[in-house]
Amino acid sequence: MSTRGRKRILSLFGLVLLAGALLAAPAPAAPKRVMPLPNAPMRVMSLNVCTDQLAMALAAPGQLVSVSFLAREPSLSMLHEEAKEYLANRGLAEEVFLQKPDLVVTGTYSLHNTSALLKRLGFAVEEFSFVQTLDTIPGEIRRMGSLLGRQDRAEEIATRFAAELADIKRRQCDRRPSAIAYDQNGVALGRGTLADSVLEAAGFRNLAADLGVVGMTPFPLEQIVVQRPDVIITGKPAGAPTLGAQVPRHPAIAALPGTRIGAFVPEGSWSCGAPSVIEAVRALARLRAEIAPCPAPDHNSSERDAGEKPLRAFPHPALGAPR
Amino acid sequence: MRLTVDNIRVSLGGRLVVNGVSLSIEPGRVVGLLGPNGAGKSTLMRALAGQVAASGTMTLGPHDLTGAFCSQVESPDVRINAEKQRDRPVQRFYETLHRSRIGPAERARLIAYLPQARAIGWRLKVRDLVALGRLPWRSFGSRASAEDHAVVDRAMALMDVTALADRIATELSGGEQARVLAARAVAQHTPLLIADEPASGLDPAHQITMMQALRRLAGDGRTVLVSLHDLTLAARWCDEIVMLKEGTLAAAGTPETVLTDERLAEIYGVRAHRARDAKGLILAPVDLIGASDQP
Amino acid sequence: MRPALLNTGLAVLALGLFVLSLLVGPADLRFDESILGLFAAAQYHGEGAGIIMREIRLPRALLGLGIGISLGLSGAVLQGFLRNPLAEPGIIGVSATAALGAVAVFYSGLAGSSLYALPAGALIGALTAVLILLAIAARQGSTLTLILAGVALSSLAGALTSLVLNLSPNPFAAYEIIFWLLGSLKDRSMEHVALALPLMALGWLLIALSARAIDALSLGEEAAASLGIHMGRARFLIVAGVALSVGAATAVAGTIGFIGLVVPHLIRPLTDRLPSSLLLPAALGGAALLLAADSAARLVLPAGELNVGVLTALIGAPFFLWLVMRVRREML
Repeated sequence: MSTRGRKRILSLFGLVLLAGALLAAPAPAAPKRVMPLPNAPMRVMSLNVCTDQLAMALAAPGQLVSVSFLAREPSLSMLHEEAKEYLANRGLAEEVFLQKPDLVVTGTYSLHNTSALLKRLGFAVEEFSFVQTLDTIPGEIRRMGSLLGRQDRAEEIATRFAAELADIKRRQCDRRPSAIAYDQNGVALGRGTLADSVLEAAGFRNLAADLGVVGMTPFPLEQIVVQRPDVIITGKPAGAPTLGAQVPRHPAIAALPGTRIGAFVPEGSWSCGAPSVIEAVRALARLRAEIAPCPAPDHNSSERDAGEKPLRAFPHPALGAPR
Repeated sequence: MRLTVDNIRVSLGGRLVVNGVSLSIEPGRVVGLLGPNGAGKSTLMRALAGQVAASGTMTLGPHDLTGAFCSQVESPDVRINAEKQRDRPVQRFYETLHRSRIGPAERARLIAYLPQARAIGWRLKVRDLVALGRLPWRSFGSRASAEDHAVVDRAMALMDVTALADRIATELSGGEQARVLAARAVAQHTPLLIADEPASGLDPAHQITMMQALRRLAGDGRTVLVSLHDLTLAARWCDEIVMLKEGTLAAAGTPETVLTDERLAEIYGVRAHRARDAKGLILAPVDLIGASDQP
Repeated sequence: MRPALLNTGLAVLALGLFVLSLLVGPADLRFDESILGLFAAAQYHGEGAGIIMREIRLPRALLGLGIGISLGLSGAVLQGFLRNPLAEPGIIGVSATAALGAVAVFYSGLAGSSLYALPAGALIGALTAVLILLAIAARQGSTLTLILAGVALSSLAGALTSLVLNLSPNPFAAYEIIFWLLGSLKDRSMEHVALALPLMALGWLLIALSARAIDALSLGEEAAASLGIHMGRARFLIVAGVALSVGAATAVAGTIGFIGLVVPHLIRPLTDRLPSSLLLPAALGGAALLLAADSAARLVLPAGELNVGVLTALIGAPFFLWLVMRVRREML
């Protein structure tokens, strides 16, 4: 297969992953009876697992009629239980046509043809880009809020999200262990990805980004052995087996001494730029504090390097200095 | 070795193709198997060579070859045959008992069979092809011995293909291929050689070479059973003739006694010109019975 | 060429490419580092070079060797047995059906996520394919019948493989279609070696035992039977041998095509052309070709890494076309 094709598939992965995360902030005890603004859409349909997360978090009761079938997938969607209350769609134009929604929300990339067709048929289609980071999430929440006529609710969630994120970031220090998000088929998440910003916020160095990886890219197993990250974050194997899921469980990784390997983030929490991402940040920040505790604030930070290792070619005691 | 067969029956596709043929052939004899197309010559030979399932008994010298009548090549026909026999459990049991007496490898050291179809699968050298005849005599994985080489050389000389030894067999003419394949069967060095139409497609000189070669094998004490369509060759070179008609034995004996005008008329529907010289009968079919006498 | 010379040459070539395969990889290990990593004492076990050499590159090279032998040997024995110069496990659909079997058992989750499901399913698939092909094509003996049957079987198996992967409840499964259709040796481990190598070796043994039969079959089935070949046993040896070696190979590496076609053809003119003389050289040549292709796959696109099945198809498919045209003119 061509690199082009492979990149395409990878970006599809990315979109799917990204698409799920926004909503998981603990179901806010918000006033349930708040109705959307008078001119707000009454029948909203979401075709993408990431817009699903935002819409489910924000919509007024009865306002959202359908979410994508992937919203029920625990590995992609933190709101998978809630998603079962909505009609599931597969992103087909015909399904939209039958539902006659007055607003369709979807991703910019994943269903490109469908979006164009729906627009031609006169549906109101709003597309969300999912090339995003932690910083873009409050904006996305607010945008969805205003589309749904739920600005107040959106403001509340976005503000809480930003505050919590700032609080976690404040508690970081110079001790930054290295980590890599390594999943299906040995794909790593590099610079510009949501995972990269999550790792950064939680106080880790993203090994893939440091090595110049941009976006989702296959990362050679051998490089992981050479670099020996402190933490390898893998997905929890989803229900049915795949070969790709075996790669992060390769014996070569298991043989690395002193490297922690695991899921570490709650399932489905960081696959989409949704409020749920904060769960991932929180979990990773806890992990970092455990691996490399920050000195008490009034200490001088002279031992700052304890958790940080320089990038290296692979060192071997018998062979002298690394090249 | 003396070949004795008794009451051989073969059915193909539910039809009895060979129906109770019994024969006895002394060693050192060339026996011609004759009969019109469809008389069952090839089927009888395949049965004797153990290629199709058959009932009856067969011995070669001290060897009981009845067990050789197991189905080695499972043709669809044979499967039908086997189904037909399902309602004859006693006979099947009897055959099973005998099946174990002789294995395919041992049989291959007793009987060489030259099929009518001339199949050469790869671009083999003539010498390598003829040497395949030594397979039954070589243990698994062993190299050809000096004796193997000597036997192969003699077989090639006998069939007049020594000059072709280093040629590619698939590039030879049809007649040359026939002699090369015959040399393979000769190299098998068995007491009994069964050859199905070995002379067809050969030029007159090589037809005579082929028949002389078979005679020479018989001269070494081997038994040769050869099917022929050419009455002239049969009359001239065979010690005995076995004549089949519709799956049964029509006649057996010396060419003089079997190839009578009456029998040629009855079985082939032809009239033949006959003469004699010091070496025996000269027989040449000249016309159909009932046809006009115009030349 | 003298057989001993040919076999020695090919063995040296295969060994050299085995070493090359050990030396190629994204981690820029120097030669001495690699050797130390491979053979260093236990105290270096936790070290990078040791892990890379022993857990990543050695299994990969071993699989390249074993799978190459399996494919070369299977191609040679099938061509000999069927008297058909175009026979090859990939072309006649054995590999594709083996992949289908592996996919059906593994992705259904019947065996949990255990890797043992892969060879089990692949063996069943390969066996089914060989039996179907023998039933359809062996008796007719026509080159065309066999190839057409193989094309049908391949397409069907490929389509069903895609179907099974698409039906998997795991959304990532569908992306693995490529692996199963155009195989790869990437990121295999010693588990895969332990899983596949014993089965493949048993297959090689069975195929080797059929050497006399395929020689005798050069003269057709009747002549072969008269030469003392037990056709039923020969058929069993070849069916089981090919199913075991190709099934196990496909289970761990997906479908790698054309090696069994190209190698016997390149090597046949160097032998006396008896099918049995081709077995050992075809096995060694298959190993050399796959190891070379797999090393090339890592060098062509170091980061992304090409599937080795893509490379073998790029080499093999034009070769196949050329061969089809040649076979039409002269039966080989």
